Amino acid sequence: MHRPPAEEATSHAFLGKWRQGLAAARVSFSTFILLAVLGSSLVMVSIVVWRTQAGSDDAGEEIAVRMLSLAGDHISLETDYFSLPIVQLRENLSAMPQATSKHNGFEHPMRNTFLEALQDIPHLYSLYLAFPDGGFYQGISLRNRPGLYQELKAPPEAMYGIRHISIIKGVPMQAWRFYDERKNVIRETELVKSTYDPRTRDWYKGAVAASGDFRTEPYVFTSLKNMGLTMSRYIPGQEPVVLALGVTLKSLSDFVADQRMGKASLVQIFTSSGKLVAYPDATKLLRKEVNAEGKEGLVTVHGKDVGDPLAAAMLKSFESGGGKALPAHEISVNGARYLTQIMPIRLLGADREFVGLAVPTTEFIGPLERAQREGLILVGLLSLAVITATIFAARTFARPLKHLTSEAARLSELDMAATPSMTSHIAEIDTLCCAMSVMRANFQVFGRYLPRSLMRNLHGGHLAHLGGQRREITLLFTDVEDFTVMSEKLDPMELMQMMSEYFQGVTEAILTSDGTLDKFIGDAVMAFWNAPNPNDKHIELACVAALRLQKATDELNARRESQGLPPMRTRVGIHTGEAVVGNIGTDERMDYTALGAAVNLASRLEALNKYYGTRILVSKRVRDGASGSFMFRSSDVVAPKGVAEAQVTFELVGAKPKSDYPDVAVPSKMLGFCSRWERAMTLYRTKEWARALDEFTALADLLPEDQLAKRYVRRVQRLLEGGQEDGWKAAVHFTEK
Amino acid sequence: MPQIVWDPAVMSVGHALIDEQHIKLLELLNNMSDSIATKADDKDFVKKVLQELCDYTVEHFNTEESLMDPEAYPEYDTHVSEHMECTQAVLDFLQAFSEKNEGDLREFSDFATNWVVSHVLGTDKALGRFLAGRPA
Repeated sequence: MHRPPAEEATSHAFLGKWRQGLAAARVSFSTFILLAVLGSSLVMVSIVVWRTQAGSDDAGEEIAVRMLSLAGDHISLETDYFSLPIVQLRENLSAMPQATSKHNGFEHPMRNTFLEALQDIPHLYSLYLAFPDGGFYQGISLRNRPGLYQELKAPPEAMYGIRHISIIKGVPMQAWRFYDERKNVIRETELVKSTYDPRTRDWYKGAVAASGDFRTEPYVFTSLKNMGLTMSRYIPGQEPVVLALGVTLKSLSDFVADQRMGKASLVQIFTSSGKLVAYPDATKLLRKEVNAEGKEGLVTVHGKDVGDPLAAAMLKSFESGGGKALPAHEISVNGARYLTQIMPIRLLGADREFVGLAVPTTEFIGPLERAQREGLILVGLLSLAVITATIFAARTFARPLKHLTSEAARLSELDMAATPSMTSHIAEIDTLCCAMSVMRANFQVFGRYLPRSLMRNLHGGHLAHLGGQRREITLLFTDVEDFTVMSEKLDPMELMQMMSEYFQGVTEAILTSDGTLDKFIGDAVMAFWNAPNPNDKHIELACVAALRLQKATDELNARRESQGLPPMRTRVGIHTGEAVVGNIGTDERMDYTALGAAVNLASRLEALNKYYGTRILVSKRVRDGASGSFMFRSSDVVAPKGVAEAQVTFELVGAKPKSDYPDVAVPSKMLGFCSRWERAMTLYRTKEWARALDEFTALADLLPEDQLAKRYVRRVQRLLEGGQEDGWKAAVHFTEK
Repeated sequence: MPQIVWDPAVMSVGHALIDEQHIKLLELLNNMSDSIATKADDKDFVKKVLQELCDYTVEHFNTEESLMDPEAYPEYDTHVSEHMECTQAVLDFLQAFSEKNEGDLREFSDFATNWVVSHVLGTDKALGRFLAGRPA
């Protein structure tokens, strides 16, 4: 189905944006490491935990089934131990010829055998012989059956009882004899009429019908008013007899109770229809029921009705299994899990009876689950430890990295201030740190060869190629008087020392007024303003730089003189004009500088100082541009060599009163001198040479060290002598530099 | 530019010599502007008038400055600077006019007149007051 184009475009845009966002995403190093470690640990731990969990679940199940199996086997064995003696007894007794003997009152050839059997087999309740005439000979064990004493009215020391029912004159009469532990007679009852007819009992009828072995269902023992079951055998012969042996359901229940694996588990015996034969709590086994004849009696309950959800669940399992034995399987009761097994048993010779075993799964796998839990906790703690260690490690890595990053950022901003270096145990990072320090040191060195303003512009991405632009700039040149002569007399170290000190003052004056220090040419310095960065105050700034560098040089010279060293007198020329500013040279070696006639003029002005004896000569453009803050005195109208047009030049005297540059202000007494000087110059220019001479002479006297005044005195003198009048022009042309 | 009339009530600085010189200066300025208006073609005449003006200005500034004590007079620096600036402006004009035959005479005349008037009314009056306040 093709989506409408608009929709597709939007989804593309969304995807594109998402991809863009992803590409631009930035995550800190620590975070990245942490996420990576966390992520991989999580995955690893999850897989391991999942697998071991699953594995131990399977293992647990296997263990449980095997253990249940073993338990089942054990129960079978125990059941045999329970049944066997009684079954064997039946065999033995029925094989005995005396079995068919009739009793005579309490005498019977098997009496002692009976008593011994009762003694040997504690869970055997009674054994008896029933005769076709209704005669009955029974042995009973009173041991652990306290209810019997009252029922039989037996003495407290009695341990065993023998009862006989004999038909006397057609009437069944019974009597009891009680024996103590040692099988001594302790009491005998009188003969009384008996209401008990053994021939009516199921065990008798069953055995007779079977002409052999029979086992009853649970029923109420008359004497005990309790329930039990009986196994019997029909012994044929001339005088047939039925031999029977009985156990109480309580014994059976005690038996199954003992077979349990802990109180939470269940062992019960039930018939194929589900009616219980044995249950750990015997009291729950029975209930009263009114039978068909309206008589109240006791019956055993169905497993579902015993009031135990576990028993009910087991029977349900049994029924859904088709009423057959079931191998180990799990059932759930009220949220708890049990492992259950149902096996067929032959209890006292009966078939189609089953024993069911149910054990809570925690019994088997409890320790395993505990170990699992411990394992998980251990994994959890270890993970925590790993995460903490990772955070710590990441921070340790990140610190030098952060330092490096900030160093690199600062270097890219051309901030070359040193910071304490860092080391790292990580080889690559350590190498980087060293390299960064070296790089910074290199930059610092490079920086000394380049004007700072230029470097900053380079950093901005401009100016990295050949080429320039036309711009009005203010140029400044300096030179040291008689430098060559001075330098020849000194040794290299001394010379370098001297130059360093000298240049320190000069460059500081230039740089602090935002000048671009272009180059050193021996002892000369070339600088300009208004390039590479524009500056409205370029003329003013050049003037203050010139004044300051003269001041610094004066201070240096004072020091030198006190040390007996020759002074380094500096001449300065300043001119403002249009020049081409930019990178000249080749790609391999570029020089950021200025070219043009203006550059030439500035240089000539500097040289002219020699002739006039002035210190700072500037062009008219400079005077016009800086007259707001600075005071200039007229110097001459001059055309230096190589300059076509005559230039009106001035000497920069100092900063005006109340200017922004009080450190280089004109001394007060010079103000009067300069004002007078201009007037003298006016006279000179208006050809009032006589008056001019007077004035210049007076000025020369006022300031004897002023070379310019002396020069004008001589000049005007010559003019007066020479008598040049009409064609005279103030301009002076130089043919030499 | 119309002629400036000396009105003592307005223009007197309170010092006899200075006032006298101011009167003379104004007269020369008036001559200048008059000659521009009427005798512009006569270059020599104009030059002569200009020269007179310049020379007298020099003399006048000299006089005033000799009356000023750099240490005592608080406005000394400003006053002298103003003189100097004016002188340099004159020199500029002279240079352009005489050497290169450039320069607008009328413009210069107007400038000079304006400058003198405002300087007299401001700076010179302050000097006058100072001088009057000091014992001779």
